[in-house]
Amino acid sequence: MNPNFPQIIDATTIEIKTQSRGLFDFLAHSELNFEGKKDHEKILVFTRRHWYVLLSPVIGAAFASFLPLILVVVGAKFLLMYNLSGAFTLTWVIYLMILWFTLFYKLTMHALDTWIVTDERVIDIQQLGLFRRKVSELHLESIQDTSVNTTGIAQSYLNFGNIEIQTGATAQRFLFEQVPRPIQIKDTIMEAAGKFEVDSDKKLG
Amino acid sequence: MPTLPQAITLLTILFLFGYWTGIFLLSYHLIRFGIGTHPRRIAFVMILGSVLLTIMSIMLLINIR
Repeated sequence: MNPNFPQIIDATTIEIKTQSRGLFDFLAHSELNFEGKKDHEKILVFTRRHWYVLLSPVIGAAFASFLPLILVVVGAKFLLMYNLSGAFTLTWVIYLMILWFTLFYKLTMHALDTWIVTDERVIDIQQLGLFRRKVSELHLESIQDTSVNTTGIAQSYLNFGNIEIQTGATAQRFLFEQVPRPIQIKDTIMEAAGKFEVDSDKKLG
Repeated sequence: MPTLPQAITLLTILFLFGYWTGIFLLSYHLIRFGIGTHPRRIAFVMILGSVLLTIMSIMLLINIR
């Protein structure tokens, strides 16, 4: 194992560097780099929300795409009588395009909402809309307490939930929302914070 | 005053223009701000599906009576 390659907890987002040189190389080649990453900084955790949160929009879109079939069944006679089958099919395709766009808007927001834990800091990147993006950063030395919150059958069974990081400042708190393997991530954060503190003490004296 | 087929064609073209503007914005965000390959894969699938749907809509528009 390459010691320089970051150790990533979330198995669903593990990205592997490959040596391929094909047309679709950009889909396989991966570099876990983010804006402002220092050269010596090591990524310990990189995660997004659990896939479960995408289940309802995907099922909803799949179900909605077949809704016009009801109109076909109900109004087949009318469509044929007025020769509107072509216009109806075109409208259906346009409707599918709107569904496609809506689905990928949600997938985009999911893909761009990320949480990163490095050996120096915790970064929370939130995409709040197409033109609204929030990046928050918390240094490991500020971490005082972390807690994991899993609610409901789905979260317990599929092992995902929220992680709340409390800092020294009373108002400031970091929230990892609906992330997979929350306990493991919480342990990594606390371990990294402890290690950071020990390293800082060593440097000081 | 445009005829009905002309109006349908115009509306479809306007829709396609708006649709591809939206697809461009989403792809831009996924490629520009995405970390790792996952966002790029999403962008690839989205564009592929959009191309297919656009071809379908253009063919239907041509064949509409």
